Amino acid sequence: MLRKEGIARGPIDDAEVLGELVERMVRHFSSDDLSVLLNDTCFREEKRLGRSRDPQQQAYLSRLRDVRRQLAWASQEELERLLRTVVRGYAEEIHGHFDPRLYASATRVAPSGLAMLLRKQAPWKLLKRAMTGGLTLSDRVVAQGEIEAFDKLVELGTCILVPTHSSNLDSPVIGFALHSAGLPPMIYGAGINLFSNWLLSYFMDNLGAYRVDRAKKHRLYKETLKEYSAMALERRWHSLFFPGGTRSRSGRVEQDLKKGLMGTGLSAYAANLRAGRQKERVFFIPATINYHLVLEAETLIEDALQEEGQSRYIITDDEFSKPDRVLQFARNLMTMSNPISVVFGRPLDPFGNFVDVDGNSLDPQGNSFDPRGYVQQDGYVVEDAQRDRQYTKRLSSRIAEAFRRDTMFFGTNVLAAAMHRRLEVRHPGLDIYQRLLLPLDARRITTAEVEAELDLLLASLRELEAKGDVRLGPELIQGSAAEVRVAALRQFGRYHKTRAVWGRGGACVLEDPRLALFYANRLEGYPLPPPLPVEEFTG
Amino acid sequence: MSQPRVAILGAGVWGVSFAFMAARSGEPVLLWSSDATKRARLREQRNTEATSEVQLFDNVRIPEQLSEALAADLIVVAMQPDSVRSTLAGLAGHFRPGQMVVHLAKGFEPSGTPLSRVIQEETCVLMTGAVAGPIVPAELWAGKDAAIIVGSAYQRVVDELTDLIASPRCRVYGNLDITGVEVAGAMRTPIAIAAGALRGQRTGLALASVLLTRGLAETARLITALGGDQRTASGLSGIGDWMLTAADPSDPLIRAGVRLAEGEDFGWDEAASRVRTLIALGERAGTDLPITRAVGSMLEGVPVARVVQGLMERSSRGEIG
Repeated sequence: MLRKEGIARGPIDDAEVLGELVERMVRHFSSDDLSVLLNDTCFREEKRLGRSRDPQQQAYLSRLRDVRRQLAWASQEELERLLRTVVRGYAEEIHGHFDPRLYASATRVAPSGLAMLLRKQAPWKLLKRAMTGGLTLSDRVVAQGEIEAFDKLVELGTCILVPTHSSNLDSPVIGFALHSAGLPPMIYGAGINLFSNWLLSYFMDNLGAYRVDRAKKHRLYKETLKEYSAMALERRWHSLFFPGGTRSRSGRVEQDLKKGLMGTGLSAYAANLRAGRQKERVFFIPATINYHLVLEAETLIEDALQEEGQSRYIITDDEFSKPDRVLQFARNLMTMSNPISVVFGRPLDPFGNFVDVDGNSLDPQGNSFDPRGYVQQDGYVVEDAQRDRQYTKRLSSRIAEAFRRDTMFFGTNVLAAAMHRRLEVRHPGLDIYQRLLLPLDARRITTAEVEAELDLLLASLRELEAKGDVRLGPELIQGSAAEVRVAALRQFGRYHKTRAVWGRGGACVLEDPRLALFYANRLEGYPLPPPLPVEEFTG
Repeated sequence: MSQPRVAILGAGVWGVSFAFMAARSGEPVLLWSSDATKRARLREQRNTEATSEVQLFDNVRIPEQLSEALAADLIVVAMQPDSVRSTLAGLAGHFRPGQMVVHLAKGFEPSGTPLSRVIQEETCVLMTGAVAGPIVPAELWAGKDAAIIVGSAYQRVVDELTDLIASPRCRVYGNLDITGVEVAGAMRTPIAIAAGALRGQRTGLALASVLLTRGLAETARLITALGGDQRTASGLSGIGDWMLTAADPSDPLIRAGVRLAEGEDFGWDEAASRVRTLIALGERAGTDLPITRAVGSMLEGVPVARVVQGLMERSSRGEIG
């Protein structure tokens, strides 16, 4: 059932929100030279979009040119008016809208799959399909972890959910996980490219998504986005950030997290203290979203290998933009048992300390304490940007630790890792890029050798799991190496255009070594033993 | 009398010296020792057996209860590195989030964790730091000029300590690269032992200079590998401190190195443990530490002459990179 309070515990007055954001930005830049700031904005956008033929972008650029023409003779009042004009445009673009009625129907529609949304069916058809029973997601997305604590904390303060990110399906998946766990909806920033499909855009708009245009890299836009996030938090709108910034291209668990948006949690907490607001606490909930198979794995690993992930920050032509691939993936989801697992980790305060179910910050020995002292002195909040950056850096490293601890491995990850490890010991002189180019024959490993490597990996992973250092999918907890191999091979045969690993004639073949690397990379950085020596399988 | 804002935990030579420095400006200071006899002597004679040349100022108070010291805003941990974790874990409930805790140890705990992080791992305190640099306690007590480094990722810690200690007699330099400050301080141990061993071997001044210079390169590599700023190795917590040590034949580490060269028992388990910690840290960070490993070999009984020969016979390489 939808929690009665929704995102904002009441209707959102869009005009009031936009008005406040604009005024906050005027205050934010009160000590800046506005003509320099606005000129820089216009210049950068002109450079970026000067050759664009998109009518919307041309109209945007035309507005900026108009602003730029007025800068030279503008008084301070006029500069503020121009700033308001530009910021207002960004604010309108960014601001999402939440409709509780639509949320209720959208969460019922969601089980029918995003594929249908992408096929541009009319909303009434989708609703009809969903109402008639159709397919359910309840056994497709398994929500687990610290749900009880999360559930209590949403009542005690503002929660910021910070999940791992490997697919554009993450937002709807986590939205469904929240709904199925009885947790309230959250606002989240979604790449503006995801709004290009009108129907998807309609639902995202109303599910609490606000637009983030990553192509706008100038300061005025970035600061407006951060201020919007901070303002939302101060209004106690529970929020979702993907701290990795973008989908993990390599398949590795994200460890280098973006601190900009994360820092707005601390800013909001300090602002709440300053304003003497009730329920001033801000809580971070790390979460991992774990898939047996990732929709866009092929594109993501290609991108990672081209320039170790730096080649394209915004991918617009991946599997998510191809309805047939999404449909195939959705069908696959419906036939798999527990294909997606969302793990909610232990909540943290904005300084990286664990928080108990009552919202108390805990020191490393488990003693509860009042965290106000981190920012207050003699009862007053002390501004210290350098200190706050260090606090957020620490929070970021604690979230990265949680990501590692709460990541769940599946058979696909472990089999892919076993195959790559065998390749590594069989070709010790080759680096990863050279190994990826080995001929098919060289990528063929006997079943006995694969299973021996799997045995080694499973033993280590089970030890790590017992210590709470990682989570394992159900098939890895007790299954034998042979069972894990067979199940993973079956998974790899389900969706991708080429199979990452395939079984043939008493052997396993790395059919698509790049794709397999994406799945294997998930295990990178965990303390695993070296691969078995090749001598054990020769002679 | 108002609650002093600074308290020092540990009344060894460094703890007493820091109390002396901090109290010089008239600031009320608490100096706590776990040893009741030492506390009594500090109250009566204003010094300890190991610091009998100093007379602590009247504004240094010796509390009977540890809880009184822990109420200070700035706490200086002057303990052996391997006892810091267990001590702080037992006291964790007394700390507050706004407190600052710095340490004076020139070494990591045996696990290879820097002490600034140990403090964060055991208490709710996040604003941590380290004080380092070329200090000679006897010179300090005699009122001679000196300079120290305050390392912390938090500017506020640097500012507070500067405000506390800086005087016409003592310059204070701040460094936000706490990783660098702690690594440079820890590397003093193997470099000092090596310097003592060369002295014992009578290898000459040229090789002593090579030791310091290559020690600098080795330290810079380790700092970089651990995420710090390699320039810190060239500062007072690095080369500045080592030059002092290498020039001082009475330094305990130099004397221990000389004993090694003369085939005697090293007899200093804690220093040997610090060297092993650094070797393990270098291996984990994937950084080559030839001088530290060489000192490790000496401590395992390989004759100093053979170790030096091994270092000299390595294949030639470029100086930079």
